[in-house]
Parts: sequence; structure tokens; C-alpha cells
Amino acid sequence: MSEAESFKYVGQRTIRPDGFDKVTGRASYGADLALPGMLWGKTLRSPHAHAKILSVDVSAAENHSDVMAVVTFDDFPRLKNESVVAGEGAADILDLARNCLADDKALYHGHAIAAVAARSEKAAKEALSLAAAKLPMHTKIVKRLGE
Amino acid sequence: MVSVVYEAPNSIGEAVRLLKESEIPARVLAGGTDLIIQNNSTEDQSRLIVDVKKIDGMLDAKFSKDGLELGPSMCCAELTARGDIKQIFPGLVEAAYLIGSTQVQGRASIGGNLCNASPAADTIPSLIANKAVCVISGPDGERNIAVENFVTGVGTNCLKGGELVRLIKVPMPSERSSDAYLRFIPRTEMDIAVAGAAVSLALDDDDVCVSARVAIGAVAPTALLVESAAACLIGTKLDDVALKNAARAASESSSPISDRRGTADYRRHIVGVLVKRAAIIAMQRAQGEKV
Amino acid sequence: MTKAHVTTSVNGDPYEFLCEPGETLLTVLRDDLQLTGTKEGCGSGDCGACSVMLNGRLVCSCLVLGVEAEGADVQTVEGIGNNDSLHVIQEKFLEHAALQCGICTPGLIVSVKALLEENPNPTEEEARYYLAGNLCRCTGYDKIIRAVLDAAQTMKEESAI
Repeated sequence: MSEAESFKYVGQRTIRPDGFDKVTGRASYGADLALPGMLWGKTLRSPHAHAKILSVDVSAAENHSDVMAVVTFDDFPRLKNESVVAGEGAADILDLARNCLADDKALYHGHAIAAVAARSEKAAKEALSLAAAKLPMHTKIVKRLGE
Repeated sequence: MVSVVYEAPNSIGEAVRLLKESEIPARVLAGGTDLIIQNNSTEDQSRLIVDVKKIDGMLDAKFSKDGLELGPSMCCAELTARGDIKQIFPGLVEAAYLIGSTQVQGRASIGGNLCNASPAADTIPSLIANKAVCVISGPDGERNIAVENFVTGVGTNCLKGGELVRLIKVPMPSERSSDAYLRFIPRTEMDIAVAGAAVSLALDDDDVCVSARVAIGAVAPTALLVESAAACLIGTKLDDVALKNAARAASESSSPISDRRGTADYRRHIVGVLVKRAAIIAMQRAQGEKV
Repeated sequence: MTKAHVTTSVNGDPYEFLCEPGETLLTVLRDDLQLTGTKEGCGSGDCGACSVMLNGRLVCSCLVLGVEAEGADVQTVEGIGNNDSLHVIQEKFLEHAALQCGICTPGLIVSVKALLEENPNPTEEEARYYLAGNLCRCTGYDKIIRAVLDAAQTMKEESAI
């Protein structure tokens, strides 16, 4: 047990090596980077906690002159419910995909439905507005259990 | 996306003209803690934002012979640091102090809280309990409206095109009177009222309540002045029976909804509890206790 | 949409910029002035990661328009401490391990400085209530509060010398 006293770091209270940059605001996080020609990504998210997505029409967003790409669930490969090894354990690949981008149902407030990449933040915001305008969603409970 | 046009007029007249003549929806900017968030909407809209903070009087507060003349755009942090206002209207100041966080307090204003007209707004019941009046300037001149008549529905107020609130007047209360505001929130801080109650009352030298005003919030589309609850307190020394009756009257006047913050039953019950407790605090303050 | 021309002072330095009228001060600081120390956590004034001082008041920069900075004095985390030495608050945050991912840290440093300027001797309760608008996902706040109270103590001792 007496060996532990003489270590430089083990058993000591150390200052984390990235601490200086973090307390001064100098630490560079992903969102802090600005590179020439970089694109801006924005996500269109569900305003409803639970809703059926009747249709998604991103054509107007795609046609915006400064938009480089738009993705929805339809851009994923055709998937089936199957267990795959993912991260720290197994997951159902179709469920994972539906969580990344909503398929026909928005499952929570903030659930991503579409994402755009554009040449400026302003263009990305405009593209979201265009996509949001053509996104009919159905929230009414039609039939309760037992009815 | 929301496109903003920004103007910062130097006078009320200029502000009225800008609001009246705007061809796009126009909104008044004081602290912006409600308004600026609305600019994040994905709606495609152009908006005119009229910043009123450069206009004389909008950011000041002073006492005249009639009472408090409160600039509607003064930030809560400044208002709550005013010992002179806190001494006369501790309930109004504590209501303003409950809004948001320290950061929000650095910008948010009573005028904004009032005009935004959330059913759960914290300062509105307190303004009502203190008989506050809005002085409105518009294209047709000036008019005064009691705060209880200013808010017309959820998020709506009686301001017509081109109008804005230029002053909030709170009449001087009588000797041996005070007020209090209490709200219930599930968290400790940074929450929206599930129910709120403001009581302002005056006592005579024998500690009998000679006048009272009770207002409740977050339990109806707008804050409500509950005369029946006040009537239960007037003429009494706020004994248990009087308080119980006032609480019941408040609960019965409320029409809360059930939502993710609370059920209607719970809100109906708790607003009565808050009225009782706020009345006791107002009474203790009127008696000179530092509570 | 015509851009607005704004002249302001950030951390004592004069700045001039053009911005859309609807741009927040947060966006201006990060994207137009490249002062990326101030972070965006929520964009709605709830998390405090974007905290700055505006004319001596602690505010959320996501709730202030860039045009409102005209003629104003803005203080950000970049103005706290300097190349030679950290502010006591920053030192205490490191000493007490009051940060992990660090995203909330700049906002907290600014807010703690504002707290201690207003109330040099806060109780734990006062510190917690004052900082209620600064959310942290990582630390559980305990180490942050220890750092704040220790900083207050040290600053008091230093000013007594």
C-alpha cells in the first residue's frame, strides 16, 4: 500500500489536460469550426409527440438554389427488422433507422423527419421552411383501446 | 424562415406610426425573452420588430402622488433591486422575481409578461390584485384599461393595430396594507406556474381586513379577479373559516385544464391553498412583519 | 433583406459588423466575430450556455438581437483571464473538476463572475439559485458549487490582502 504515495498521477488529484481550454472557451467543439466552402446542416423535427406522417414532400427544399442535399427515411436502404451488432450491444436495424429519421410515424417531440445541407445557414433555414410547409401530420386519436 | 425588419424609434409617436403603418406583422420588443424565441419558427414570415427601449419612460419607474408609474420595459432584475418599490408592493416584486433565471431577469419585463398574455404569467395576477392600469398609446390617442380587462384570452390582449402599452400605473395602497404572490411549480426554479395566486389587502387598526383583492393565474385562459374570494376576507381577521371560504371561492372560480404540468383537479385544489397562504403573508406584511 | 451595421465593444475591444436584423447576439459572436467561446445549448434561453454580460447584466445571448448590441458593452468568456493567468474562478473550476465535457463551462464562468460581483459572499443556496439558469448534463452540479464557494472565499482573501 505504501507504493501508492509516490505516484505522480495515480492516487493524486490531477487537473484534466483539456481543462485549460475548456474554462477559457478556447476548446474547439464541432460547432465551433468554420472551414471554407463548408455546408450548413439543419434538421426538420416533429412538433408533435406522436403523429402519423401522411406524406413528406421535400422537392421545394431540394430545388432551392443553395441546397446541396436533402435526406428523408426514403433515402435509407430497404431494411427489415433484424438484430445487428451496434455500438455497445445489439439493436434492431429498422428501429434504429426509424429513430434516425422518422418513417411514417413521429414518435416524439423533436423526432427528426428530414435533414438539409445548404451553402449557408440562411439557405438551410429557408429549406426547412419549404419542407415544413409540405408535411401533413395526423395527431387525432381515432379510436381508444376498448372502444 | 422568419425574416426580421428591425426599428428602434425614439418616441411613442414614432413607435405608434411604425406599428400602425406596417404591412407585415409587427411586434413590440422590450426584453425579447418571449419574442425572440418566436423567431425560431419554421414558418415563412416577415416580421417588423419595434424596439421600444430607446423611448423615454419605458425603462424607468418612479412614484408620483398617485402611486407607482412603471415603465413597461424595465427589466425584472432592475425592478427587483428597487427597495422602494419592494417596500410598497412586495408581492408584485416577488412575482416579477420568479420569472425565469438570472439571465432571463436581465432582460424580461413586466410589460412583456403582460402583453404576451400567457395564462400562467406570474406578474398578471399580482398586477390585478394591486389594481394596476395599463396606459395605452395608439393612433387614436391614449386610453386606460384595468389589467384584468387587458388580457382577452390565451396569448391575446386588447391592443388594437398601432397600439402599445407605454406605462403601467399601480395606485398607492392605503396604510396598513400589503400584497403577496405565490405560485406552485413542480421544480424549484425555472418553471411555468401550475397555479398562481396574488392577494392584496388592507387592515384597520384592529387588524380587521377592510379591503382585499384576490387574483388567480394559470387556472383559466386568463388570470382572474375573484371578487367572491376577496369578499370572504373583508370584515374578518383572516380566521380559519374566512381563509377556507376564500380558498373555496377561488377554486370554484377557476376553470383549469389538465395538461402535462398538472391535472385540472389538482390545479383547482392548489389554487385555493395558494390564495389562503398568500392572504396570510399579505396580512403579516400589512402588520409590519418582515416576511 | 438589408443587413444592419453595428458598432459595439466586446471584452473592451471595438468591433464593427454587418448582420441580419433577426440574427441573435449569440450567432453574431460565434459566426461573425469568431468568438466561439460562448456556446449554443438550446437557443431558447433555458440552458445558459450562451450567457454573456450585456451592459453589466447577465443575459442569454440567444435572447438578444445582434442589433441590440449597438453601442453596448459585451463581456464574454474570452474576456475572463488572459494569456498569462487564469481568473480565480477558472482555476477553481479546474481544481475542483467542475467540468467534464465543458459545453456549459463558458456560460458558467461568466455567470459565476456575475454572481460574485453582485454577491461576493453567497451561501450555497444563494449560489444555486443564482445559477439555476445554467444547466449541466455531466457533473451533477456539486463540484461546480464547491468551486464557486471556494472561488468566493479565495477572492475575499485576495481582496483583503
